Amino acid sequence: MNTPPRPVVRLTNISKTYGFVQALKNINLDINQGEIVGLVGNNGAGKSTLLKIIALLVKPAEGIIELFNRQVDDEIHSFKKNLGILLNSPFFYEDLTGRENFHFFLRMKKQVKHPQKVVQDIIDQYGLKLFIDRPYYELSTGMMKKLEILRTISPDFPLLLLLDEPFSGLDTENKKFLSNLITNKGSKNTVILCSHDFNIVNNLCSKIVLLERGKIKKIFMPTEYNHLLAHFT
Amino acid sequence: MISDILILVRKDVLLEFRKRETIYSMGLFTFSSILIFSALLNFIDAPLETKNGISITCLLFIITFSVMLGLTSIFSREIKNNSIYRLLSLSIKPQVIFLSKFVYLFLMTGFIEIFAFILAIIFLKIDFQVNILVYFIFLTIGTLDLTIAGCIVAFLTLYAKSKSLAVPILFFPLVLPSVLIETQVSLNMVLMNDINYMITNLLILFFHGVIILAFVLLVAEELIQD
Repeated sequence: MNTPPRPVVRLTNISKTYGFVQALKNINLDINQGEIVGLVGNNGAGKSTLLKIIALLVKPAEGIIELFNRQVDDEIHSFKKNLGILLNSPFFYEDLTGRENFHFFLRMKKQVKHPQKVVQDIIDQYGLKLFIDRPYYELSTGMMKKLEILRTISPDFPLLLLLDEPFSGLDTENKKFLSNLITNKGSKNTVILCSHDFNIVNNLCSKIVLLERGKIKKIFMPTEYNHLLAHFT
Repeated sequence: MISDILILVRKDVLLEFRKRETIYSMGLFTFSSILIFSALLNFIDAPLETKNGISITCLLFIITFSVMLGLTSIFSREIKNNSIYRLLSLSIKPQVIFLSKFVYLFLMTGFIEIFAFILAIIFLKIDFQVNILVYFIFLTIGTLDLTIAGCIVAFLTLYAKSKSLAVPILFFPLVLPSVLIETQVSLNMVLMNDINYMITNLLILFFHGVIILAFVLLVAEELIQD
């Protein structure tokens, strides 16, 4: 008999307020290993806040978070080594070069013994030679985004990858590159992404969570794309 | 933990020497202040001991303000464009972040202090009556205390909307006991009054630093959360 998959992420009654604004209200959500989950909704629906809560960057006001079958306690830093996070705000330091930024982040991930070699491999594999040694602030938005994406999956694809608007600022070629990266992930890797692009979400995700005013309105399967679109027209 | 602190400090030093904004502003402030005080002291007709006492007090005043210039910038690059999440996303304890910033500020302040004391010996003509080891211990403990206080203020004002107002309001009450004690010790060094009195004050200074450091390490987790 097949045992049901245990969720990689389990949120129970998660609520979050910013001042007087209720950003999230009683969120209950299970995300299983290997799934690609899309968070959709209008601006201010709570997508980014929910993503930051799962990324353990923001503490919920109420509720329980379970990651990798363990309840998140005070030792939250121990969970973070299995997370890859891409937010709208840059992670790279603008005055450092791409190479220096990569070195810094790889050194902070303790599992990397020779960051120089890993960075060189990334440069060779993704053709970054032309701009990797330029200061980060000199790069175009698309290049910055590409480097940030590669940071999240270096040295290995994380067990849980969290992406906030990963396709914004990317050209068609890089959108394709990112889509391929997500679809070719391993079966143990889980991806949660926020996006306004319904086509991309529909093509990539195995589950689509519609948020509205801080609440989960409905969870769609990709086959229900027309129903999802109906909510926004 | 130590390797994490060193990686973070190395990154901060690299970022600082890429732009050199903070170190230049601290250095320029120190240089111009010493020049102004030395010009003023030339007009005062007083015994050498009195002049020495005034000079050393001026020097501590300059260093305190110089630390304040440094501490306003230590977290600014981390919170620019909401980028504090990059530090929070790392698999490290908030205490490591605090300690790395403390080490970085200590290095910057130490560098500026050496610069300031060289200038003070040249322009303010300070003549110390104690041996160099006692002086070095005093300088290290005093700097540690000042930078711990500075770092705590930077940590407390991490998310403050008006940093320019919040920093002095918190910084001066926190460093006031240290500055008063440091002035007393410095005067003792110059006038060579009582070595026991100096040691007692150095111990008070040391424990002041340890207590506020322990306090902030306990609450670091809460302070860094958005």
